[in-house]
Amino acid sequence: MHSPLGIERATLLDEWARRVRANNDQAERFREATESPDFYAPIASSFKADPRRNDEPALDVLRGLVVPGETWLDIGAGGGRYALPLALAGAKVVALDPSPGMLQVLHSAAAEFGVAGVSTIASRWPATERITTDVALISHVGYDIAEIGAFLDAMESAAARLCVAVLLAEAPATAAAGLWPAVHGEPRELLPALPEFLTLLLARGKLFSVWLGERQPAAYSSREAMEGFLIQQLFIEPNGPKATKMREALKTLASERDGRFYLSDRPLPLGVVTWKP
Amino acid sequence: MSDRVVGPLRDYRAHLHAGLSTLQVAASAASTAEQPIALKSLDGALAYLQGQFLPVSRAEEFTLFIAVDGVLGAVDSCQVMKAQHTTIMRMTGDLAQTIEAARTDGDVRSYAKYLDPLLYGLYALVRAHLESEDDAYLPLLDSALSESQVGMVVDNLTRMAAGSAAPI
Repeated sequence: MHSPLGIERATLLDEWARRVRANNDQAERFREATESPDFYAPIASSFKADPRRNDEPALDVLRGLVVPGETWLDIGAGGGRYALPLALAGAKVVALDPSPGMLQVLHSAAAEFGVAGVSTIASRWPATERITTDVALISHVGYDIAEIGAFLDAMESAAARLCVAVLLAEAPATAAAGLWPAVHGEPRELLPALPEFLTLLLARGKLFSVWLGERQPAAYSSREAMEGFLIQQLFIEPNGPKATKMREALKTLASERDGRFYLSDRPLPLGVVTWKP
Repeated sequence: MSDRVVGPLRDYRAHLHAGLSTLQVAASAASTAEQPIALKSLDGALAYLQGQFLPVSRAEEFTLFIAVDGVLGAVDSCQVMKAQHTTIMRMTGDLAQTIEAARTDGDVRSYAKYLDPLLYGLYALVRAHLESEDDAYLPLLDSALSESQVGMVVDNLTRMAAGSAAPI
């Protein structure tokens, strides 16, 4: 089917899928550590955040989209980083995530911060059950979804008023890409991100609105925390020879400021994209 | 040939072309004008680059360029232009540092030998960049986009460059 741009939408969908598969295949070729059934469980606690925080401009944009009483579906809600603030802003939130570890963090944060109005569904997306809401949200979800077309079809079907996507100009895992040549001997196959997503929406005939901000480089509280992220993203054993290579490379690639550790000093463009389903 | 739908985009870009003259004026003033006038001209050039050209450049990477990608069915088809954005950003940083040094020393003319190549270099690069986009991308979008899609590109470009929030 031709998009309104006169190109085949399938071309962009195929390219998205090719890049996701190339990224996955490369990980499998180099994987040393056994894959955990819940990939995010070891780092789930780092996804907990104060739902009343007011130092995140993108969250303020999301709060501004809430019509009190409406239902939001947060696809890949994680530890409730956005689900809980949206509930506090007056939305009824259905938080969907396949990771039991993440949902446990979400429940714990809701209890700790006294947030009501969030229900959870443990599922991948598209879910098997039919879900109908006013607004469907994805935040840092989709970068590694090969079948992005079906994913977005289901998201748009679930939303009556608005679809919202919060995405970075580079997938978050790209922060580890600089280590790949030193550790594995080849550059990382990069996942599609915000620019490709916007092109895809255009090809799907959607008119969208974008707020563009920045996300500061990830800061790790300790060298061990930074290495933990990298070991996961490099798919290596923590005490193997490749971990030694990683630590050697970090001597030049990582930096420390004010007791925190950084892999980059470059802020990344962050987009909040809204469109009618 | 007249535009079919990209007129509003061409209109939006007019201020980028108009601001180019600030770079020529500053280059001339750096070597000939009195100190206060020279500094005012240099500040004008910097304001154009930092306040207009660079914010629009960043916004283009998520508006104009992704539309070109969509028309061509390719990823990162505007990579060369993005690289030029980076070069212009670095040269603007060099210019800002040089102006600050000239201001601190209180003698702009003695810095003209550093300022002139930067200002004339930026003028040539920015002009070639803008005209390349006009000549290569605008006709392409004119042939493929609808009026509402161009309107969306201009809206997003304006909002992103101004740093304001998205409407519902």
